[in-house]
Amino acid sequence: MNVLGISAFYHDASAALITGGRLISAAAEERYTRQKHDPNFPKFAIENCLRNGGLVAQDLDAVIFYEEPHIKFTRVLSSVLSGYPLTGKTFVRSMKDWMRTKLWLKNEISRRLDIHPARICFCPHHLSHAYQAFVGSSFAEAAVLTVDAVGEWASTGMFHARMGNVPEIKPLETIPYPHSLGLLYSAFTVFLGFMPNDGESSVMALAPFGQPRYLDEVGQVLRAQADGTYEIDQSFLDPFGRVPYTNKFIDLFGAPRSFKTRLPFSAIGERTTEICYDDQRYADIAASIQRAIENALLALAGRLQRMTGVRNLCLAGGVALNCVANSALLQQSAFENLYIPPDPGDGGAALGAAAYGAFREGKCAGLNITPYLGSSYDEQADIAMLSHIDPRSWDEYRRPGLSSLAGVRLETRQHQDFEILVTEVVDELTAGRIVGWFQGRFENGPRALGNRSLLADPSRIDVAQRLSRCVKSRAEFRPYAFSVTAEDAGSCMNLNPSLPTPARWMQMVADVKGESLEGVKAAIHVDGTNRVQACSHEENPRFHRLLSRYGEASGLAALLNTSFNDSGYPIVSTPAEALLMFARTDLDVLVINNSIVKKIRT
Amino acid sequence: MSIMWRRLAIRLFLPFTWRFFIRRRGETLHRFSVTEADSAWHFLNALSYVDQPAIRARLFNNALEEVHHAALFAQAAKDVSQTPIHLPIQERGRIYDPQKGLQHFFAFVYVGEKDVYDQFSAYASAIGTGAVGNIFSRLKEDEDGHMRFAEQRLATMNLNRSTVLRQVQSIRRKRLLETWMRGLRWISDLAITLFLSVLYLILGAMGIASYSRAQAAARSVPLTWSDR
Repeated sequence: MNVLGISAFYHDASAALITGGRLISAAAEERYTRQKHDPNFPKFAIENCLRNGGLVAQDLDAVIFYEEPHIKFTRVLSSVLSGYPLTGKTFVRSMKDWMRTKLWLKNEISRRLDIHPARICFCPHHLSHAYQAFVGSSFAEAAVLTVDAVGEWASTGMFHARMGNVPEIKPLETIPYPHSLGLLYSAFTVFLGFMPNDGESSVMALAPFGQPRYLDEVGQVLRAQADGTYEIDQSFLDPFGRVPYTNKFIDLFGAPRSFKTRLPFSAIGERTTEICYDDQRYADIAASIQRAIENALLALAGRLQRMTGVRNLCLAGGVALNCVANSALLQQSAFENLYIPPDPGDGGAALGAAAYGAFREGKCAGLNITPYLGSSYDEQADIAMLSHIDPRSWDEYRRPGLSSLAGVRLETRQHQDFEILVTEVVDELTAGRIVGWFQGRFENGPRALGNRSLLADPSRIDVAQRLSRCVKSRAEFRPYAFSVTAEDAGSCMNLNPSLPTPARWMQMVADVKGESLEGVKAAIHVDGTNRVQACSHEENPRFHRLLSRYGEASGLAALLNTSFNDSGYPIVSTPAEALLMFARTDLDVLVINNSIVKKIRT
Repeated sequence: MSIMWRRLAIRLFLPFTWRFFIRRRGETLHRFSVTEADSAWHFLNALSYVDQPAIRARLFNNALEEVHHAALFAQAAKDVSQTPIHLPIQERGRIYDPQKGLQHFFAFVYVGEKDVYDQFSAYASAIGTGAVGNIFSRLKEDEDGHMRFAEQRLATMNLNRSTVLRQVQSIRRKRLLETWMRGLRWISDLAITLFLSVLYLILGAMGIASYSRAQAAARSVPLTWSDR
């Protein structure tokens, strides 16, 4: 049985394919179109999923869309009309969208894939998230919490799941729109000068520079209930306005931050001492909303635990990308184990929808979910092309402020023996060079987990600063993550239990142990925590080998690891995209599968 | 002919609209950034269909230039805007068609880059010097280079001149048709907007009427002692 799951038309469109009960492929459309958070129909993602499965569209037995469009339409229509007469523009804009595509989704999918509409079904949004969260968890029984902006009507879902021959996922409770933790966090994201659905990680990164001094004020907006649920005072929010908050919100928190101003905080190296009142206020507000979200999630988890009485929690939805809140859930809730899928957001919901379709037919046991479900590429032709390129010709088209490539030549080599390649890469890293590491299939989800990563020595502040300025163009208040071998994770991080599941895929933060601080000082946030990837040999043998070999050379098997993407673009997918970034930035070394390219200064 | 009209329209109206509608200026620059990023994507996409390393290298460098152009426009859009620009993300479609081959791709690039060159020239002369004007002046030279590269590729493909001309003409006609379709879509969009606006007013009025009736019904319930 071949089942395709699709998510699209909101943000992060993606596709996932399950064939014969095996998860074959899952990827976001943005990786193929180079448009961050691409919401359009995932035709390229589907094309690649089918190619990876050796199928054509007509071989598909079922196509499952990740939400119920007609139910969602009733929500959109009634909520827009409830704002009458101030929502005319929103009504016209959204109805145009619905009339063009979303209302006729079955026909649209059928037309695009050239399959019969009877093979196309819909899965409720939060149920897609619940499947996505539970089927890969390997728990026999678990509570499932799904928290995001909004699905059809629900913004939060609670489920009780059991794995028998097929998973049985029983809905317990939902919290309806407009009470939404995801939308509230997005409103604060916009208030703090970042882009919604993208800059939420910046709010999370900004929070440790502040104190939750505005927790009471946030409490007026997000009202915790005694039973563990929450309510959001809608008089502070304006979902249809130019900005998603009202003047009452501004009265409470002060003027919003301009998107153009630079925040003076730095997570790397020297701590800035002179911070103006407003910048500190923004950091305090970020800390307050972050704390409030953690408290709300803990209260929800407490309620869910009381309802189900189980010790395992599965978490999905866009809010599950908040790794600080995930750590709070792991450490402070009554649950002992936490599982979060590699892509817990709407992109990953395609996988949940596919699982829903596959399990509905009863042809599928638990799925072995790894993050490495994207496409892989051969690099030979792209490496061969480099012999026809003079890197000096790149100078004019590089980012401003980078060093000239005059006197630079490209050196390319291919190693059949992976050990020799690893040794060479380790030498480069220990010499303070920044390495682009591109291997095999790309990761599904927003984290670079050793197949599309930029790597550097985590003990070198100067290298991390160069990475921020000359490669990533990244705000300095955003910290870097590091990857460490699963065997060494416990010795450098305070992890409890010894290796929690979210630590495998950078889904939680943990304190760095005192003795390891010096070794990873360029990848630690101001609060002494780090978002960690504990990489095991079973999951990613090549990256694990690199980390181990680096550990032999430096004493700690850990590397600074950040996503391989240029500012404003999604993580690279093909070797040519990797080379493009190599050309445009001060990336020193690029490793693509078994080939290595270096900029050599002569 | 259409190019001439477009140039004239840009020269006449652009200085006025850019002076008084700052948001529109930001949005236009942002759209140029998106278009340039789209061109880069097409060049990268075509790489996988080309065998000769030298041609691949040229396509790669073109992609690099387009990415740089996109970054320049994105920065210019940010510089002139007061608020962040959110525009819908357009669906991508490949120019390269395996059935039509590289000849069609390069003909398309030739026509497309020529259009962009003309447009950038018109913008450069309408805006004059200054940071944004200089971007257009500088980038049009790169676009000219891409056009010449495509022309050169077509010349070396062992095709007779009339075949190439026919292909270029057919792509021009297709693009013209697309422009007309865009115009028609704009008109139909306007009609739909009007229809939806009227619908909104009717639905709202009906909502207000039923709300008023519900309020009136609630008021007609006799007051209890506790209400007083």
